[in-house]
Amino acid sequence: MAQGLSNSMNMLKVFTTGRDRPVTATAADVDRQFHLHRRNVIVVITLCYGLGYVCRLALNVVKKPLMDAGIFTPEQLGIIGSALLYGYAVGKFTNGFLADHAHVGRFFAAGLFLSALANFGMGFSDLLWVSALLWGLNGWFQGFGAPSSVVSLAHWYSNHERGRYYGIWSTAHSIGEGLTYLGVAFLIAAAPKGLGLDWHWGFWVPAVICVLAAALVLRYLPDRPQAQGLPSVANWRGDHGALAQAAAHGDSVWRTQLRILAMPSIWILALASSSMYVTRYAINSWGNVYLQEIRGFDLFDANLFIFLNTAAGILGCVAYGFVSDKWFDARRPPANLLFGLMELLPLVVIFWGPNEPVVLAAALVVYGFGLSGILASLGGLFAIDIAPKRVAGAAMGFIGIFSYLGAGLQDYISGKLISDSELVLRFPHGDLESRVYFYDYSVPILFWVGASVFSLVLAASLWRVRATD
Amino acid sequence: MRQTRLVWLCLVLLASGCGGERSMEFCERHGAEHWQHRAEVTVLDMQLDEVGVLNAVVTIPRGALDWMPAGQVLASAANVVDAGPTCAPQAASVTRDENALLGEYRLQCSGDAPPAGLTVALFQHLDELREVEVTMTTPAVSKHFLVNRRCERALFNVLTQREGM
Repeated sequence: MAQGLSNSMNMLKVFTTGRDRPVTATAADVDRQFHLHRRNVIVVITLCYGLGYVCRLALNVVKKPLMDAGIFTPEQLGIIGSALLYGYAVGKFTNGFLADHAHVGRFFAAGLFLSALANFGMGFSDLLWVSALLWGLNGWFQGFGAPSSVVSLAHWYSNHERGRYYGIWSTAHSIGEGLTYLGVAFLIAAAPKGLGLDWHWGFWVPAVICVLAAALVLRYLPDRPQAQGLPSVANWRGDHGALAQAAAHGDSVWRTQLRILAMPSIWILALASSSMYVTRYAINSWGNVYLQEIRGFDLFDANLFIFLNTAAGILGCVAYGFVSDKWFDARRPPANLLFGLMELLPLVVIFWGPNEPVVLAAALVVYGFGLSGILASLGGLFAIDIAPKRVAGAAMGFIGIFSYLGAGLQDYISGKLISDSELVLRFPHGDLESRVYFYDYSVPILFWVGASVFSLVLAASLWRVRATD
Repeated sequence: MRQTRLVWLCLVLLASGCGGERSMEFCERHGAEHWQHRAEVTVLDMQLDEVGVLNAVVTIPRGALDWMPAGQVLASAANVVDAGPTCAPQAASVTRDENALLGEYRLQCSGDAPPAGLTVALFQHLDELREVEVTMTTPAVSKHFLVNRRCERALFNVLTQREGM
């Protein structure tokens, strides 16, 4: 028993970060290693976090086929979808704290691999409880990626450049969403637009992609600079913030992590982020179903529209980092307002505007641009600005749990509201019965847009908050 | 030996539901080919408005079905669209001209709690009926689709005229 426990603990030690090692390398060697690792970090976390998204969003693409086939109702899909988001919220919180102590490369790789297994299982399940359990676990495994990436960013990039690199990493959200909404939709959509495969393949192919991503992360994502015998990035870059870090005064990491909970601005940010995640996941989870059900587009075109929003998000993330760093001297609130309005106004066109594909596409592009920008801030960058850097993972985790609790509640509430409006038209013939479902999205839409308004008001209330070191 | 193989092949084809696959192939293809026989297909047009009024019109083209029994079936609103106790039939009329047999119905449903389900029982009452082209409009959405006896699911993305016309 004791031997088994000891073996388990030794196995878990594989995931812990190395001890700080003294800097013995020459300045030139330190420079060379920093350049190499920084390049690897940004490429690997962006690419592989994006690839990991495919294992998170596959369900959204196959929702309509699952509804049409009568396998799950919108309410049941809401339960399954919210299970992932709750799992992810828990994962982001616990894994945020763990990531501060972890060798992020190994930690992140494990999450991707386990997520692949969950997707593989989903392809076999048509039972509500099995799917909800697998998808909930998948949410937790997915929660390994963001804290690992943010911890890497905090360790390898300094204050005045982090906005830009965070912006680049945030494009991973959009790359992953785009890959899912185009790639998985291509697998499932009927010919000639797609391959017309069964919905099961919408889970199995993402599983294979996540296994490959796990291998890349394991090979190329390094541990902290200090664990590699390098100085901290703040020392290397000579980029220190205005306020001293608690860690520099000798406080423990755990104590500093707990101090986050006493910061009112972090709580407000958490609520603002949570509300914005309601809208984000409403569009991601139900947007393509809405476009098929209400606007009459086919599966491929509906997902193409959602892809446009995510593709624009790539630019939105980068633009947010640039705009807030350069135009507003690393102040996030003015940029939040700007990008928040760009997120909110197109929603009016998307839900109440004309059914013109070009107008709809343009509105989704502007929406995606604004949303990704403000999420890059509310979902992390603003939080790690405000929080001490040694506990960036915990700050991110704290915001994350709120964000994904909001997103999870949204998925269930949206599914319930959509299900409540259901009208089934039945055509019995012989032993068969053809059914066509009709839904009304007017109440869920008010819920989704209202959440964005609330988020914007909360974000604006942090106008005077500035970054710490 | 060859005969034995042939028997086995037939059994395997039967066991694998070969007939079902042919039907599936028809269902995948038919939406795109529907325009070719559209003039001979029974049409059902239903509109549910915001105050709960449901209007339904069935049009059976000349030659599509035997009009005598069809007319008797259409005379009862419940044979066409049944919403259970939530909707009360208010008006039903059957008319015919040289081109079509027309059934028109009006049901009053509760505006506060619109019906959760409607049953179209035409296939059960009209054995000859092979296919219905349906347009259903609710306050939120309008859908156009085909229901065919050979297909378990309704067929969407229906081509109503030759492409390019």
